[in-house]
Amino acid sequence: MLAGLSPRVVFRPIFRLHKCHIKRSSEWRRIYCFHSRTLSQRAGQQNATNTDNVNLINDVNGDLQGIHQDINHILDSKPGMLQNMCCYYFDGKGKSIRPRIVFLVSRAFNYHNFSKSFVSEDQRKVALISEMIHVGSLIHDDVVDFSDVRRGKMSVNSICGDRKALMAGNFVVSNASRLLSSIGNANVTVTISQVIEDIVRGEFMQQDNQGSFNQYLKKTYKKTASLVANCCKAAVQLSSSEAQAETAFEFGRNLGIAFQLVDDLLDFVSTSESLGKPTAADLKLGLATAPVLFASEKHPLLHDMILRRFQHKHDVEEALKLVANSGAIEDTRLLATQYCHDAVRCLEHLKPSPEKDALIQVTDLVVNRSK
Amino acid sequence: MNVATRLLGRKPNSCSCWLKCSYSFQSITNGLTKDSNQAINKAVYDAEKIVGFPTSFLSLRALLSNELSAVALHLRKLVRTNHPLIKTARGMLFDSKHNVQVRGLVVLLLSKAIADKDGGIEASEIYSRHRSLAELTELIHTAFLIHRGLVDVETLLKVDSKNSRGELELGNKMAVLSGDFLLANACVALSELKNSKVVDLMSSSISDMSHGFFVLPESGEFSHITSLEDLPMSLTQWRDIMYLAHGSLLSNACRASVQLAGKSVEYGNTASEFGKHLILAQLANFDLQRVNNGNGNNGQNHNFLSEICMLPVVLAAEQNNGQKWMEQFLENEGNEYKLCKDKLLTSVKQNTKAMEDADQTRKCHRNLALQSLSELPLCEERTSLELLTNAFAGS
Repeated sequence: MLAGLSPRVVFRPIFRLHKCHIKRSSEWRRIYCFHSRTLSQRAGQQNATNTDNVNLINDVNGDLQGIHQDINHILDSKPGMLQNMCCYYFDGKGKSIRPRIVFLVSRAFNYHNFSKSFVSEDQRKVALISEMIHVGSLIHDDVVDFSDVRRGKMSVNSICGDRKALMAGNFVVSNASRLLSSIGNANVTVTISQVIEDIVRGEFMQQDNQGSFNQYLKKTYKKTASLVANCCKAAVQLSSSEAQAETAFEFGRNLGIAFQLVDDLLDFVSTSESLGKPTAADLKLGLATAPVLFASEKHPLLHDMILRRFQHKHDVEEALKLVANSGAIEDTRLLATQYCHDAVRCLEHLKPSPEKDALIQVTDLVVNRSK
Repeated sequence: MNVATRLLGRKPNSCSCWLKCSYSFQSITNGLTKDSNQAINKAVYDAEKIVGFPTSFLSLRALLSNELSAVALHLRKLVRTNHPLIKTARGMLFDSKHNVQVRGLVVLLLSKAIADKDGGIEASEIYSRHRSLAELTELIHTAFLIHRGLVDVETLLKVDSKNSRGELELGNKMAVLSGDFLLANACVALSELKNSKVVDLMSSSISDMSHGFFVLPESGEFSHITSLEDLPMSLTQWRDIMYLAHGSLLSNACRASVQLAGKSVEYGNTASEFGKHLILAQLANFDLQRVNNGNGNNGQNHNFLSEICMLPVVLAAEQNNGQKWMEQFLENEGNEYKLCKDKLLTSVKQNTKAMEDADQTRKCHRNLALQSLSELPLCEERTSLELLTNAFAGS
């Protein structure tokens, strides 16, 4: 009964339009059409002068101390191999950007409300959960993408096999869920559980690449930004009003999308030593990310390549060349900058505090990082 | 029928043949004799009458989503291969009457048994939250069935050159995604119960299962074992690891059901004990029948763990100083061992002591399960649970 339809037509999931995640499509077009050469030049210069690493965000409050030990403690289980595999990525060498953001958001909002900068025990738990869900999803991602390298070391699936890697990922996420239940706040539980569903749906959307910018942004929200957005929301839900939690959500959403846009951009410009993973990895997997989608506006040839998932010989090299010659990298950076501006705008009403400044600095570093 | 054909990617007219082959598949599935199959059918049928609706399609809501119909589309490409995902998908629809969705049924019966009977009609109805709990228990179980079906692409390519890498990899990819999808659905349903204790219970059961299936090797046509170290070599170890992999889900679901009904902790302990012993008795029963029928479970179903973890085998190993004895059934192949199933099964079948001990263990867990049930108020649900216990654990 389905035989007559082409797979592409049927495979397209019909998603409900989520309230705010897609209004962007007109926005990006606006930026795309109006962007002036000077703007993009400025973005380029900024990139050249500011080679700061996200690691350089000052952890003045020492919030990050011990989070990896704590996670390892939570994941403590008897048999050696499972323990090793689960703690493999919690070695403190990652950027820990998600916990950083959750800590800063907690402090900035707490300062705004109570004129005192602090992180409550429960907010700290949200930070741990954000990192655990992230790592769990990485482990599953590597199985789906047949990846052998992650963060500069062998991926879990290449060490102990796909099935065990899958179980390790489930183990990490289920323990994050137990930690979540220990917070004991039903609203926060709903908020964070939504993240898990979003990530999986995002992964499905990524498998079904349509070459539309709209869908790309939706996928990016679900796969990456939802985690940041909902963890920020949860942290604020724990200490403040629902309205403020929504502001924190918007901040996280914009920052998360910007983060992914830059990640996709770096896949085109950085070399494999600095990123710890092979360059143009997305193209090789057949995924069309923002730079390719921007470039396809100028080079219709790319449309066909996107639809055949860069499977033909020399498709990847050709696409790389077209992207480099179309200004798509600058366009992507510009779009990321716009999202960061929106993120900063969400913080406007907050009382000035060092943490608020640090958050603004984070948005800047997200766009101008080289790693 | 529409759903079934979509999920299996078959045209309606070929369905009768699918039904036929799934029927024969069914009898192999359980590795059970015809009699015990009938006993299970009857017990499940009666139980569903009490609950008031068929529980075979508890997870239907998740199955009808866009994501899974996309998976179904890809599955059509895999029908030719022997990827376990196909078998799981088939089992979810045709085989579901039997051991696949029985966890949800048990949760519903228990919920009904402990509900206050004097609180009017409403109180004796099964609350929607309990139904949701039963549903998510099934979702978790199915998700793990799917995740466990991931194949080792390299090994399968070595064994059979007919296998294509692309197809096997696609199968694995779909297995990861659809398993994750079901777990994510369970996660959201869990959060909507708005009960932190229940979230904790069900999350720990997922954590236990991940732990158990991480350690235990899967059954399959080509089961390779990397190390003997973590495998059970004594009855205690067998109990512990099987509780993690299989028992924890039902045990925690039963406790969660008591929690949702707002009953005492002691009641929860009893319910949890019942769930645990029911599953252990059921496993012991299946393992005994697998040895007796000489059915090596040759890759027909991955509902089972590798033969090396069967109760009679473990008991025989315990008699004979464990690891050393086990090694004679293993052929060294590079970094892995290959299990000589026939040699192992014959040896264990002749070991009367191990077989008798295994039967004793089965009876012991069955009696413990029945004993826990006796603490419930006398009602038709309790009788039905007793019948189910006897059907699954063998009388």
